[in-house]
Amino acid sequence: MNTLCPFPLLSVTLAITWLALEGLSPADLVLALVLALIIPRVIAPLLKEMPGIRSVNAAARLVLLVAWDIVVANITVARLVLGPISRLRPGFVQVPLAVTHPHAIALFASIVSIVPGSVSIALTPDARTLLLHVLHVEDDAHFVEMIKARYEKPLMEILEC
Amino acid sequence: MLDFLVSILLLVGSFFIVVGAFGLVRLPDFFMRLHGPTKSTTLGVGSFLLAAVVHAVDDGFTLRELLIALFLFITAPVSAFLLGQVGLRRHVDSRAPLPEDFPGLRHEPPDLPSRLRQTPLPGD
Repeated sequence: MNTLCPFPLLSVTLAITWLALEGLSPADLVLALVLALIIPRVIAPLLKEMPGIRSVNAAARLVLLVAWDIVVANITVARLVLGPISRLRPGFVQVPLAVTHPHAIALFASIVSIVPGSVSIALTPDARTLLLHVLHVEDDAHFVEMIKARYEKPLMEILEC
Repeated sequence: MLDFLVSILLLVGSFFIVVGAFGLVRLPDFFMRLHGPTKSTTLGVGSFLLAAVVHAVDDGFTLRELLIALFLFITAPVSAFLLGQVGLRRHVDSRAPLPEDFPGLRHEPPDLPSRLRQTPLPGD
């Protein structure tokens, strides 16, 4: 069983995802099964060092926080875009990372990209500093502190890394 | 009542998508333009999907809309990151000073024809 299906949780998630998208016809059931068996095998090299989840509660809280912040960030960005462009102070900001696990860094970079008026642009080769472009930033240090406390700290509580 | 809610959600979604497109035209440089598609469209499409969920509420809840939203949230930052990398490596014009000291990036602009390196900005 272990060799046929090395990542059971991922396989089940994939099968459910496919069925939720495509429906429950017999053909889709077969296809879901095939995908659930093949895809984990293909991406296995990426999965070997999957961090465990320490707290489902904290994860749910982070999801809600991000969802709320997406709404707020959109209104903020809409105001900036519609307001006088010359008043914007865009800037590149370097964020020293406390998270070290590749998946945690990827999650942090993605959250920061969809949330608060910033986009992740680059990562140093040693994966210790993340470069962000911020649409409007008045105080770099304050901004860095804010996103680290708001998103990185909960991530470190959630993931075992 | 339900139709009313669906309409509101569609209007809100349309507003944010228009704002995103508007930003793409109005913002003055490449990196600033990246913000339009990653922010405004996520909430825009999110509202549309929520409208679809509410509209189909009689037919039972489906995971489909949630999954579409999830895929969007996974792919938008990745494409923005890749576009940003290209911009950084090509030293495109930017109002924010490019971080020349950032390790891992080539310091000299690549040897490209200038028409590729410097996209003309609207209003210039």
